[in-house]
Amino acid sequence: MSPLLRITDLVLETGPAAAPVRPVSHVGFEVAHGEAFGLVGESGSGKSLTLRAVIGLLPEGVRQAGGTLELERDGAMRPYRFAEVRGRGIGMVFQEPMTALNPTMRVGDLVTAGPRARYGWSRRAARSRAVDLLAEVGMPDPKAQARMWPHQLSGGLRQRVMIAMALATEPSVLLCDEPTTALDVAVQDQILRLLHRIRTERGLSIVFVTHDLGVVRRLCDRVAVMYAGQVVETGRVEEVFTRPTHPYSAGLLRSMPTQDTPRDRPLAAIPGGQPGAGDRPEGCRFAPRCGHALPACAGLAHVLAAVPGSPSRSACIRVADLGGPPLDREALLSPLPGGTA
Amino acid sequence: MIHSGRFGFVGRRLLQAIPLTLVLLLLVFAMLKVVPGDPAMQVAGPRASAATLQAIRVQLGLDQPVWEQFLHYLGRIATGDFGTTATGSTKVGTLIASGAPVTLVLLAVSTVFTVLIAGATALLAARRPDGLVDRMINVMAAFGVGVPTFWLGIVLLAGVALPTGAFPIGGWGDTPATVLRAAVLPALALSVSVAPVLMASLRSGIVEARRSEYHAAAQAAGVRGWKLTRGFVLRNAAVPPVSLLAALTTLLLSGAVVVESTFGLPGLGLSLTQAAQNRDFNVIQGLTLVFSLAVVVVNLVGDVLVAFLDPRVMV
Ligand SMILES: Nc1ncnc2c1ncn2[C@@H]1O[C@H](COP(=O)(O)OP(=O)(O)OP(=O)(O)O)[C@@H](O)[C@H]1O
Ligand code: SF4
Ligand SMILES: [Mg+2]
Repeated sequence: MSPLLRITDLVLETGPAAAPVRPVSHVGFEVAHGEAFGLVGESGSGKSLTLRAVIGLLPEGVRQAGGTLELERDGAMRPYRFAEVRGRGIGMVFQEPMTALNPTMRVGDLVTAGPRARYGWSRRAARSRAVDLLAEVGMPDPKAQARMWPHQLSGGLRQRVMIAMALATEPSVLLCDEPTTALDVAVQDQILRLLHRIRTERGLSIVFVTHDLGVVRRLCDRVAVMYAGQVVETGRVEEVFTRPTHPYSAGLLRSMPTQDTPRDRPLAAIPGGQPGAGDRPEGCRFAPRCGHALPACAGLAHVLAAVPGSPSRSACIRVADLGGPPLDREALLSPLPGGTA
Repeated sequence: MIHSGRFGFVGRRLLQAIPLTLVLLLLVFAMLKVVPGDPAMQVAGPRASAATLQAIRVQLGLDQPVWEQFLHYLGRIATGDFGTTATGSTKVGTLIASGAPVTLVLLAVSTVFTVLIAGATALLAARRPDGLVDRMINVMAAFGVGVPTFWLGIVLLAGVALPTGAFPIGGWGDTPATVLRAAVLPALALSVSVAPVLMASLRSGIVEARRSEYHAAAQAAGVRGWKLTRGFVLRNAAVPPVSLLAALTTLLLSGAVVVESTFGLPGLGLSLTQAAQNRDFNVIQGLTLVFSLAVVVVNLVGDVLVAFLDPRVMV
């Protein structure tokens, strides 16, 4: 598959320029045409900042201090300016549909705000387009709902509106920052199916940020595991989920409940906590929590290297010694449940 | 369905204004009842006989029960009859009719100035929150709120009107052009104390909107430039200032009373000042009614405007 989006050596800084803190350091990944790519990790690992950096919407006080961002256009990967790709190539779905939809605009106007600004569509033309888009994302009564206000809709419907708004500009990549976290479990499932359907129908690529491994398993083809502002392992989802090549990924997977996990048995959690952006250890940042750590790990330069005998890439030097049988994650590998979104 | 929501909201607000207006009328009516002294004695003079006083009481309707007097008062107000001034020379209604346009123009020009000043400074200040410009505007705003309106009026007369000759030294005009020119300086004096309050509210609204997720979502969708500012910043930021502006009308009205005296403008404020000096109760009562009704109307308009800007307030 040919690459569509490539992030290389992304460095994000906060704080004074003289003594910056780097919540994201040298993160890189590549997303192919039509691929769903997952970005997982604990809270604070830098997933959201990475995603926002892709479209240049970093929060106040965070700046990009390095890295290349490229998008495929006319058959070649080219670095892009944000103004070129916003609403034309890259779209974004936010976590909180309540706060990400302007409360003072009607749903229909909101959905087509992008193309109206971008291509100068007339309001009238935009109206019928808005109804089409709302129908595409499965709104039950698109005509009536186009005339409603965001606050009149349920959380699930609001998230559908958010997705329609992002789709309105016909992006080739959809960035999704935990788009289901704010929703009920049943509604989460509907939104995941919707994203899966849209992706198939439109041949869209998706970058999906989440801390929920189950969601990655269901939706994504490939995954990057982030820890303390770095990617520690990346690979195909089936591989990473059955034969993780980094102790952090393995720990995350062990702490994930499956259908077979008895309710009363506590999940195996990784001891300790993730270091904050300001106090990260030298060398492998996972070392203080790692059961396999050696003295050498503290002097390690961060490199995502190919793993012998595995298609994944890992930042762990002991990957060859981790060995052991593959994790029994068969329960996680069930395909996306049937039914339409 | 949504439209009926908005119009239903306006209708309900109009209905709510009716009892409020009645209470206002009752209070203004009661004003005269608590004024010390016998009104009949005031008309007839201190040496009138008991019989004369009684005749005057009957003539004024003072022998009737209070609620009947109130109904009578309502009837008079409905026909625009506010009584006569203390000297008996002029009808209070005529006084109001001649003063109202002056005060209305003054308030209108001042509102325009207030909105322009507040809008421009808020946009400037919000460009870089806590930056140098923001802080300077903040200091100026604090000064604007604190400076006495009458003092500012005198400074404008002495510092601008006198040396430039571009504006009259007080007084009003008789053509639209001269009226507007006469209104500029007093309106400015009036705006300076009100605009900072509006500016602060607008500024924080703009900063908040720019930090919001819906602003980021709009940018992600490719909305930018003026469309972004208008649709995803100003529209949201305008909601609190609009209701605030309605609430500030009382401040503008009391400011108008001061400014009209300073600049010698023949408006309602000047009439009120003079009536207060002459203890002319009919005039005071009439003007109080007009001022408080104006506040009711402006707040009604403000509520409706807010509802059109932010649909969530319609409950
Ligand atoms: N606006 C900001 N200013 C300064 N530092 C920030 C800002 N936003 C995030 N950070 C820092 O960057 C780190 C990563 O934040 P980010 O939001 O990307 O984490 P995340 O992986 O998305 O976590 P979560 O699962 O909680 O959403 C945070 O721990 C915080 O220290
Ligand atoms: S490099 Fe060392 S400390 Fe880091 S994960 Fe591998 S074994 Fe653990
Ligand atoms: Mg996040």
